[in-house]
Amino acid sequence: MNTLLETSQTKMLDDLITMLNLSEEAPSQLPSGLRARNQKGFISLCSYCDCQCDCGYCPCSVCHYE
Amino acid sequence: MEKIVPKGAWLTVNQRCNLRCKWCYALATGYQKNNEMTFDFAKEITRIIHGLNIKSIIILGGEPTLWEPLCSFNKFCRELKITTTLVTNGLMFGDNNFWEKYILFPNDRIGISLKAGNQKQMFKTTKSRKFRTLEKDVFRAMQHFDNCGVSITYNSFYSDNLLEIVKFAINCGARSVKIDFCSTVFITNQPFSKYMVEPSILVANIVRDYPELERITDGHIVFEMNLPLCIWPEDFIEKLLREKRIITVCQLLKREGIIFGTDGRLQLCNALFDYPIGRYPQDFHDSATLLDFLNTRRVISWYNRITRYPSLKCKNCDRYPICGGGCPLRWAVDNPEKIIKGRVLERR
Repeated sequence: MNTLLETSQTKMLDDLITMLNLSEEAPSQLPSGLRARNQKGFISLCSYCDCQCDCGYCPCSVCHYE
Repeated sequence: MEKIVPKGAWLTVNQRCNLRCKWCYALATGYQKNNEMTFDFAKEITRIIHGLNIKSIIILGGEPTLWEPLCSFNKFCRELKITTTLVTNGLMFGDNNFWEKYILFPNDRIGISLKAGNQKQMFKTTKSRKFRTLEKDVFRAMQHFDNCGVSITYNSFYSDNLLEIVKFAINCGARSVKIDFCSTVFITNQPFSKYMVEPSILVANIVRDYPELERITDGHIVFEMNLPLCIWPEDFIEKLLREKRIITVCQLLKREGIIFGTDGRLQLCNALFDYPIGRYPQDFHDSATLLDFLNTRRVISWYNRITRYPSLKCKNCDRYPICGGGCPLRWAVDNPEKIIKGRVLERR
């Protein structure tokens, strides 16, 4: 069985990335975004509803920061 | 750069859907009924996710409430102590047969994606005539579940009636509303942006509507900013930051998520289902081999390329760490050099 990396499908992703008008330079540090981490290391959107995922569907309106 | 260790997982359980939203990233899937995960396959994938110590799964479709094993899967995840979030259009909550089963094994969180503010718009955008029942369906879910939120994907249909849709959400019982912005989808390898709103118009509209949005929702509104922060008026962004009403930087830019398609394909983003980076079980067969696979030179190279600065102005921008330059897929249709301004604080 061929792995995906041996198929032509991966060329499509290469082509798509080329299609994006991005600069040639990558950041040395990844952006962290407006979310904090709790002590367990999970992304913590909210200390009120204890949402620990990164889904953006947290129902709490006062969340996304600790 | 640190090793890729995913912290969250998305599972696309089916492609079938009871709506036909014109801007949907899944448009190119054809909504095929048979294109779905079997329960056993979903369990296999979930065990791999669990082995990576990921405690949270987001369930996507298609429309996952049309996925027959949903309740059994929820029960399975609960036994593994994995929390699940359902992303749904909410229509099935009005189906009593579904509802009676669902409330026995619901998801830990529910995100309802609303599509229209009135009946005519609902039909125009989704080909569904169920606008009137939707209000009752969503209200039912809101009344029953505490952890249920509403989101709206802002697109060209909403340019002039966002307020109406948000009012509808509140009338449905929403306690808060999240607004995100439609980005590029790819159909037969071509970017499709017909329903995206041109950034300067989008900014003008949202800034115009914001005071009323704030009033209608009593301040319970959040924007998922997949647009660069520098395109917004500075005082507007400062206000949103101060009031903690922005979510920024997606899982792709942070390299923190794994997304599985219905056939076990691994994707960088849920909109990139036609561009898999690997597939279970050919490229990995357990948690350890998945972690190795994510850190292969080839996969790292894709991440490195797709997470480059959209513009070199981002490189010196003091807000880049919290902004990330927006959704990279947008730059298939917009020129970042014309849109991104960047922000450099002057030294005093």
